[in-house]
Amino acid sequence: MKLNAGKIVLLITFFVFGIVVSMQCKTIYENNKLQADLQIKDEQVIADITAAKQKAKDLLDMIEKNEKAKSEYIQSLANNKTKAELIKTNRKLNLANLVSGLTDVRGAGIVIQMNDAIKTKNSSNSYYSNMQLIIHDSDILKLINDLKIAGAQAISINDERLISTSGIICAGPTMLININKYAVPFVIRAIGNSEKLFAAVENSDRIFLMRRDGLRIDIQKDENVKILKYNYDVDELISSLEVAAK
Amino acid sequence: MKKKMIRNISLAMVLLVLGAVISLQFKSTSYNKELAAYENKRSDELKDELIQEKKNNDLLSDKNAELLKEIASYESKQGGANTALQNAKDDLSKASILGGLVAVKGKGIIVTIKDTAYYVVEDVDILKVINELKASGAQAISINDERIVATTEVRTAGNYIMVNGQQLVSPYEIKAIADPVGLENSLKIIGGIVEELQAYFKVTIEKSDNIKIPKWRYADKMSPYINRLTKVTD
Repeated sequence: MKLNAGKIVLLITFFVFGIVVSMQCKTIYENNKLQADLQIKDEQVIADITAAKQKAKDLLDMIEKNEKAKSEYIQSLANNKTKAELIKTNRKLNLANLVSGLTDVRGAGIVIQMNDAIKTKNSSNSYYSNMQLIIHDSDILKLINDLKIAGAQAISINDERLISTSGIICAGPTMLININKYAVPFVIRAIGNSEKLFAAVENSDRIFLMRRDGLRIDIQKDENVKILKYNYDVDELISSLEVAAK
Repeated sequence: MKKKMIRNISLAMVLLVLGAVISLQFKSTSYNKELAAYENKRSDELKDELIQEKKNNDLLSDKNAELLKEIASYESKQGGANTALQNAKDDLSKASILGGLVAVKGKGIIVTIKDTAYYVVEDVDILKVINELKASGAQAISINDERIVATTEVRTAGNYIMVNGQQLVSPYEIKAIADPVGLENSLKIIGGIVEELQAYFKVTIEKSDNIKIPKWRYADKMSPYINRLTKVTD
């Protein structure tokens, strides 16, 4: 077989042709593959973007809601309804505490010191005269009432504030005031018009009798009497009381 | 000669086709590159957009968190104010009940003391009864509907007895609310007093489950009763 030029050209031509065809095939295949890959990636990104946008919308909704709540708070604090009510309530509370004896107070008034009589050799030893030498609950009760008649606004006995429920109760040699027992001496403090209070006690017939019997009673006007508050549990004092509607 | 010509023509055609195919391939490859670049560009843009959205969301999240923090602080302020108000109201309620600034009701007893033809009830008699009631745990007391408060005086004035500056006349109806346990105690103690007072007066004791005691007459104008008191704060 003789190779001539024409056959060689033909051979080379088909060789090149074959390579080109295979290249083309490969290119198309790769192209498709690349495109598919890109598409998948893009779809993912697009989905992410959609999700992100949804999240943004939700966040905006929440922000709007919270902005509204915030402005409501600001308005309510600016109106200060609660604060105004608190101030009003505290003002009432101060007065209620003053009048009910739940606050330490000071003011002009008198201080009375009382003690039993000192027994002397001349003193009679009978039961009745012995009884005359000591301070009784009824003496204190009368004296306290005299102070109230004279307009006392706050009274304490041995620093026990007398409140609406305070009794003065004889307990053997001691006196029960609020929840504590006290023996002599008694110190009674009262705030009010000191002249009136002083006069009321000085002119009291009970004081006159006690002095006659030798009991030691000292009354002093004082421009700065301090009276302590009732310092025990209040709940116990009002446990059976129910506020009655008007 | 004819045969050679046919061969040459077919060769020329083959070469022509080959040339066309090569040019096509060339074109295809370059198009492909262009496409890829375009696709890449689109992907980048998408990615940028995503990043942008995420950044935006971070900002929004921060803003929302900030808002929530502010709201929480307002809430606690409001809550604090509410708690303070509630406490003040509770304290006011207690002080008002104790101080006689509100009407109250509850279980208790009614002691009635009446003048007789020979004897007139005096302040000391009333004082004793009130003191005994207090001693046995009375929580609220009134005489002829005058609430007994810390400053209430009892004073004989001729045929009257002055209580809270008011003239009261016989019969004197003393109402007391006490806790049910102390109530029996009260009755016993008051019984002792009653026996003592019965020698002179007409005295009755009555138990009641529904005693109402009005508020102090000066509850709404109490300034004259506290104007000399200065609150001590320390």
